[in-house]
Amino acid sequence: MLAYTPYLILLLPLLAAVSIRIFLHPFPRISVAVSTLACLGSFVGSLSLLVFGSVLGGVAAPSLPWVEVAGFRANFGLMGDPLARGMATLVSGVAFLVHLYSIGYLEKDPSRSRFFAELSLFVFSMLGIVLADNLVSMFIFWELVGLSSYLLIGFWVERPAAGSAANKAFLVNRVGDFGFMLGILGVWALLGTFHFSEFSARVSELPVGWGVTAVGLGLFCGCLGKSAQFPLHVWLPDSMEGPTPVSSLLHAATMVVAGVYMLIRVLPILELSQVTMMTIAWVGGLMTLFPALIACQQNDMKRILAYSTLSEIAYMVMAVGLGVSGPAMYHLMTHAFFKCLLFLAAGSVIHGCHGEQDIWKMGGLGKRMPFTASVLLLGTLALCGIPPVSGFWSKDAIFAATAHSPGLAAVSMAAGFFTSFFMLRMILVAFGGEPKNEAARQAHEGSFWMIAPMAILAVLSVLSGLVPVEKFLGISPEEGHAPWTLWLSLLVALAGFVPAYRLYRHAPQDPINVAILRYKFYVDEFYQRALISTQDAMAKVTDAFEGWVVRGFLVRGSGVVARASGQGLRLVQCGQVQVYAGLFILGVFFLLGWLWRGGSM
Amino acid sequence: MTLAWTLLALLVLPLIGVAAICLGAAPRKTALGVSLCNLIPGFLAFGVVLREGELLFGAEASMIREVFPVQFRLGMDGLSMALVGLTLVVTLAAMGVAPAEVKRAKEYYICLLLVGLGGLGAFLSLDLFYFFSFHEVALIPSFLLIGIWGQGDRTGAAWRMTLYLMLGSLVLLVGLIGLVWAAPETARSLDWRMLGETLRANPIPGPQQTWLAALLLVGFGTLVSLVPFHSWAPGGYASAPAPAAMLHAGVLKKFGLYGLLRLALPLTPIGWKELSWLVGILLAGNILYLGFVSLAQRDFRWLLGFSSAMHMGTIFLGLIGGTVLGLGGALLLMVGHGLSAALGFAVAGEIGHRTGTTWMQDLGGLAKRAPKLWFYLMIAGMASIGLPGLANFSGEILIFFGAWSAHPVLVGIAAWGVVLSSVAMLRAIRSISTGPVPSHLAAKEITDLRGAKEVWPMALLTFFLLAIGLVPNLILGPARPVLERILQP
Repeated sequence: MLAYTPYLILLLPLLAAVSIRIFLHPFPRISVAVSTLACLGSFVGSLSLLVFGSVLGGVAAPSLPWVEVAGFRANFGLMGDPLARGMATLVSGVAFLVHLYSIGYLEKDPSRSRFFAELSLFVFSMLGIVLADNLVSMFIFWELVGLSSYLLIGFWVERPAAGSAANKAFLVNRVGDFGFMLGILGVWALLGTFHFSEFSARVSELPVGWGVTAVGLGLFCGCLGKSAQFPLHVWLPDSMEGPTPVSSLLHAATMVVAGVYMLIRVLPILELSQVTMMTIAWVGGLMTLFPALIACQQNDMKRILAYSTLSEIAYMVMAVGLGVSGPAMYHLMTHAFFKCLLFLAAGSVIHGCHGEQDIWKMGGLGKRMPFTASVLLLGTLALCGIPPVSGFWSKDAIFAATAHSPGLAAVSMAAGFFTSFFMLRMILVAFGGEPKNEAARQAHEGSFWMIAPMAILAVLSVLSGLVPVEKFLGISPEEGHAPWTLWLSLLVALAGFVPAYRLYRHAPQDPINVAILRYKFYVDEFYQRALISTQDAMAKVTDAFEGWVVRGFLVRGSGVVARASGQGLRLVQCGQVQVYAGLFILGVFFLLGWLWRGGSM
Repeated sequence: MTLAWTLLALLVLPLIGVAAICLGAAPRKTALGVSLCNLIPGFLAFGVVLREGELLFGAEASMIREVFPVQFRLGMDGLSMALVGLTLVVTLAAMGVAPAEVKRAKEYYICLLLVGLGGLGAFLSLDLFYFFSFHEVALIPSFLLIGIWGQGDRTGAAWRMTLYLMLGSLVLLVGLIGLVWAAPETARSLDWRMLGETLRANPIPGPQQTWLAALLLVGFGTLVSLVPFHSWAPGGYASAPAPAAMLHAGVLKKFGLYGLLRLALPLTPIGWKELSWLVGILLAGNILYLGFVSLAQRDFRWLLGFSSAMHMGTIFLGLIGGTVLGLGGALLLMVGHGLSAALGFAVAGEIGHRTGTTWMQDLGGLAKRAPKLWFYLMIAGMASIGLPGLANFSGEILIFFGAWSAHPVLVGIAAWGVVLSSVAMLRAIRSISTGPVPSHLAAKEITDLRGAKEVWPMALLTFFLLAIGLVPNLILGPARPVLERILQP
């Protein structure tokens, strides 16, 4: 009985999405309830697996055949190992809270049935990634997550910016998935299997060579796309065009960390190649700093948080690259709580200010939205890694892993400095001083549905630092902290608050202006000019070639020849296609008959 | 009871429909009814094939042997079953999409029925003569459908397409005759099964095989719009009325691939291997060249035409992969593409019908004003860019796995093709369905799909896209023995 629970966990949200799409969408209240309850069901299922599963030992769900041809076997099988159970509980739990929050956030939106259907589709796909027991199934859900992200970013269909952002997210992910797909093909070629549980046994037989490195880097491409790491990070800040609950659930807490989760699943293969591991560690390391710098000069509240998400995921990627998956998972969990909280708080601010997202147009919100302000502050402490809030413990575990690579330690700690800087900047500008306009003056707290999830997440953000992770995730954080990283990282993080406080305490506008940071290192501009324009120019050239040369000259030319020869057969050319057809078939008959006779002669 | 008559019934029912329309029955109702009734013999025949592996009609009887070598023999096995099923479903959907009010309705529906009949006949025929002629039979009504009821440069498109396909057929005919000719005199047969046995026992010498394979490749390739013989397709589809484009892109185009699977691969295996480098280059042309061309399209119908031709490249990759997995993927993608292309053209037809244009820059805001139509636009688009859960994905991924060991670079190109087609399709979906409604449409009353009557053809296609995507074994299971035999030396 318990063995089928993973299917129940997985299929409940799908059932909700399908039934809303087909039957329930004219009734928003029922749709909302069905979707939320389905998510609650998944959460309860995951939680009971987490609790009882560890009592019973491993729980393996029977797998369903999908394709089985000539030695190639791809099944839908579900994992029941501790990592999957813990992650499923985390995903469905956070998703449930975001469902609750969305009830309040979208209470006046006429399309909320569609929103909740898409949200359920997302929960289904995300749980699929978490529970999949092989790379092909994971890829399937991986793509479905991409679809739900695309749909949810573009939820406000009438906004052109939302449409562009949705397309950008989907396409950038497709580029990453191109590498991921080749990586999966490579895994199959090397190992003859893509079942996670068989990896560790089979890799020992593998010779180490460039093939293994290439496969590892291919798989990493998938992570670059989904987890928005350089050079495929550009879609995530734009994805903030979606409704805030979406930013919170997909683009902060769960979906974007799928890349990290996948890396942990394929770690036995990655570890075979030192080059792959170094690449992952350094991409992650540099990526902690790069978005943290950009965030210092952004003005949109959600975008600031989005850049900090990029930076935090990079910590996890770096940890995986250093070969320590425990701290990566640990940070994944605490980050899910506090980043989700931060986004929900930002959503509460935006909701309260009637859609305003520019922090320079807010001001004075501390007095008007005290609850939001206090949870935002709590989330900030967690994000910056200030003890005793959760982020401190998980970041500390990652810093400890960098103790033997000073380069990585330096960049990731510098990132911590800037994180403290931009977070305090955001809080001082938005919540301190006087209201900058009427919307900010009339700001108010949201309804109960919005407050309650924030309160729960706030508690979790504080407490999750004290949770014995190894018990729930089956992965133990590394033992033996190196004290110098602990103290140094804490010192650096605290130091980041100082300049922010001095610069932004009473600043009416931004006292510093660094163009290269405001323009995000011109990566988007570079892609637009160098890649997209080239691609479109190539498309125009090939299209012109197709139109003028192939269609115009060759095809029309042959048509002219045919018609000219037709002049000679004026007698039968009466313009009736039936006549042509008849003649044609007759001709075939004669030809065949003649051949046959020739053959038998 | 053998139920062999069901195969004949599959072909006779549309003919009855044609006759009834000629005699004055209501055209749309008759065509729809006949297409619906045709599902019954279809299901019965599928049942037999699933149980016994194949079903033959007239294979033993000698009809007009003394006078003429041609014999009317029909047969169905796991491979043809998939394509017959595709034909039945797409034909039914096409009849459902076809407008009730159309000029010269009688001729219109007769033409549509004949196109479907041509597809069925070609997939069912065992005799090469009928195999070839049924396809030719379908070309004439396609020509008329585009020329009379089409849009845009319809006369030019109709001529271009017909001339092109006739030329291709001519090359194909030479190849087929050569194939028959290559068998030893005493065992010569037009029945491709017997021909196959003969040629397995007495293989054609290498160089001759290469020539024959080349003729078949060019002949069938033209019908499948293999680069550089593709240029009839996009314009033809863009100009065709929606049901005709559905039938042609969905069903008739698969005839060429079916022919390659049935004849070129098993009968000229050495030649096919010799040529695989050439096929590789051409299919890369389909994927990359047509992929880029499709990016530049501004009319949604043209985009669908190019992207439909583009996906043929991936199917060819499955055919040269040299594994059962690759062939299975090719078959799945054939069926998936047939369904998704049909759905795409159906949606494009509805959009054109409602707004008077399919120029993407002139469209916008469809998602708000016609959410159901938008939903099916999404399904068609997502299927064609290989979203998991829909049939095309399972085909593509099996092709990738199947061709990986033989042609890793081409697999890389095909995987990149998925990115290219996503760019084109997502841009199209965005400009059609999101953003503000353009001013010239704002005043116009744009209705959504109305009720079950307009929804069911699209829901039908969607259902099969999902079913095959989720349970690819529906297609692969019965076809596997046939595909395995194709690769056996």
